[in-house]
Formats: sequence, C-alpha cells, structure tokens
Amino acid sequence: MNRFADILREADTRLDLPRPVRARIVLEMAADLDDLFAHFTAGGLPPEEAEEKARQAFALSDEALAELAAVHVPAWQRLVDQLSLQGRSRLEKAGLLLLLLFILASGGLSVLSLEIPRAAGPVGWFLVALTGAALVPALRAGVTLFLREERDLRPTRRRVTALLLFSAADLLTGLYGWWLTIYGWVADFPVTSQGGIPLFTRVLARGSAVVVVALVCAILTALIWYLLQERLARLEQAEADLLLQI
Amino acid sequence: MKRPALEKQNLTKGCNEALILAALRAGPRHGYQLALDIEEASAGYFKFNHGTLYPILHKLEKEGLIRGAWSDEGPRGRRKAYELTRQGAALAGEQRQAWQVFCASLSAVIHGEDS
Repeated sequence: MNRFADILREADTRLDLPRPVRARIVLEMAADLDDLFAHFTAGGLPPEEAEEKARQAFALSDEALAELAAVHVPAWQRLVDQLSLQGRSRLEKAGLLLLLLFILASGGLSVLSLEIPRAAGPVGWFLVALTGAALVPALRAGVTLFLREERDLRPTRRRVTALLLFSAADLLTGLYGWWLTIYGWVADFPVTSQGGIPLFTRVLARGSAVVVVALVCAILTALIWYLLQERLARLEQAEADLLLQI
Repeated sequence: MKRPALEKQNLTKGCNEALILAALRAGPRHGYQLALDIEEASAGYFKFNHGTLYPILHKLEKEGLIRGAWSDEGPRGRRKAYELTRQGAALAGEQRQAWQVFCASLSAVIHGEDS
C-alpha cells in the first residue's frame, strides 16, 4: 500500500475531472510525494517525520484543486463524463455494435470486398492503403494493451493518437477525391459534351464511391481508436486505483 | 494561447509562473524538485506548497510553455518531468528582463524614500 494513499484518494475524489485525466494527475502526485518523502529521509529525517513533513508540504487546498480542474475541463468533456457515469459502459457497447452493424450493412461490406474502392479509382485504393497503414500502429498498440500490458504506455498512447490522424486523413482524402472527380468532369465537359449525361452519371458514381470509402475507412479507424483509447484509460485508472487501495 | 503583456501590474500576478519558468531554465525537473529548487534558490523565501504547484504546471503545459514527459524509472515507477518549450524559454528570458527592471525600479524608489 502507498503510504500516501489517503492524500491521493482524497485528491482523486475531490478532483472534478474525467477519470483518465484524474488518473494521470494522481499518478503524478504519487510519484512526487514518494520523491518528497525520499528527499526528506535522505536528509536524515526518520520515516515518520519525513512522511509528516511531506504531507505538510503537499497540502491540497480547495482552491488548488478547483484551479487544476479548471485547467483540464473543456465544457464538452464535462458533458461526456456526465453521460459516461450513467451506465456508460452498456450504452457504449450497444452503440458501438449498432454503428458497426450499420456500417457493414450500408456499404461497409462492399468496401471490404473492394467492390466500391475499385469503383472509386485511385483515390479509393489510396484510402484502402491508408487504412491498412493505420492497422500497423493499431495492432502494435493492441498487442501492448491487451497482451503485454507494459508499464511505459507513452509509445502506445502516441500510436493510439495517430489513429485519429489517420481517420482525419481518410476524411480529407475523401473530400479531396470528391472534388477532384468533379473537377475532372468539369474540365473534360466541353470536349465530351455529346455524352454529357452518361459521363455525369459515371462521375457521380465515382465521386460517391470515393466518399463512401472515405467515410467507412474513417469510421472504422475511429472505432479502433476508441476501443484502444478506452483500454488505455482503464489501464491507467487501474494503476491509479492500485495506489488508492487501503 | 495569447500570453498577457509583461506590464508591471501583471508581474506580481505572474510571480509563481515566472518562478517555475525560471527554475526550469536549469533543465528538466520533476514537480517536487521544482518546489525544492525554488525554495533553495530563494533561501527559503519562496516556500512553494507542492499542492498548489500542479495547477500552475498544468496550465503552463496547456499553454505550450512547458512540456511534461513521463519516464519509467524502474523500481521508482513512473515519473513526470517538465521542461521548457522554445516558447517557454523565450518567455522566461523576457520575464527575467522584466523582473530585473521591476526590481531595480522598485529598489530605486524605496532607497530614494530612505535617503
């Protein structure tokens, strides 16, 4: 048991912040308290006295805690945290499952079978490759979080965050591909004005395919990010809880 | 995030931030080390309550003036150390000059009153 568990537990209880943020703050405080204690004992104080001195030096005022919370809480995050307290786990699991089923039923399978990426042309293949590239950090993070459970989670956190960038890149590429397709049609229109309608139909089909592939890739990547992020937050919370145990 | 102008009335308000930024000029430090360093450097004049350190550190981190990094220190566990960012180093330099002018001006007035 950590000798400062009561202080840490108090901070954890009084900090009005989402659990992952709170966990990181508690871990930081725990490390500093331990170091402060070690500093005083190294200075020749007996452990009891060193502990008392560390406690005195560490006093957490309401004002300090409120300021700390104010630094970390954007309004939307507070809202999400409140929702999460109301049976978040079940709702999230159900929501994720429904979203996944919806994606698979509404075009996701065609994307996975590469039927739509083929129709989307080069941009579609690029999007598939981008999602494939996103799977590399996702798999590495997954192995670390679910199988190895390493102590140093910094590289894993970076990999998990990278998935959001991949997801954003999918969306931006989709938007770019859509406008590129439209531009190609407009640029070619005077030359092929005889076949304007069929060409327009083809352009519309290709542009839509690009958007569908981009959306499916972005959502799938974001879903993987969400699952890994949740696992990461739970591991950090478990570490903080361990410190708070009596 | 835009920093407040380094005017005289803001100097006192930003004293704690200035102390932390100044202490970090010596290199990366853990939170507890910062408080001890400041206390030692000021010969005990600035007794930093460690609990009040976190809001300031986290605020400075959010503003991009300092950077916190976790390191795994074996049996000691994980530790978070802070260091100045380029922006923070620049501000620390500006603050140093501003404080010097402030202190010199204050001293001149106080000594002027004495004489």
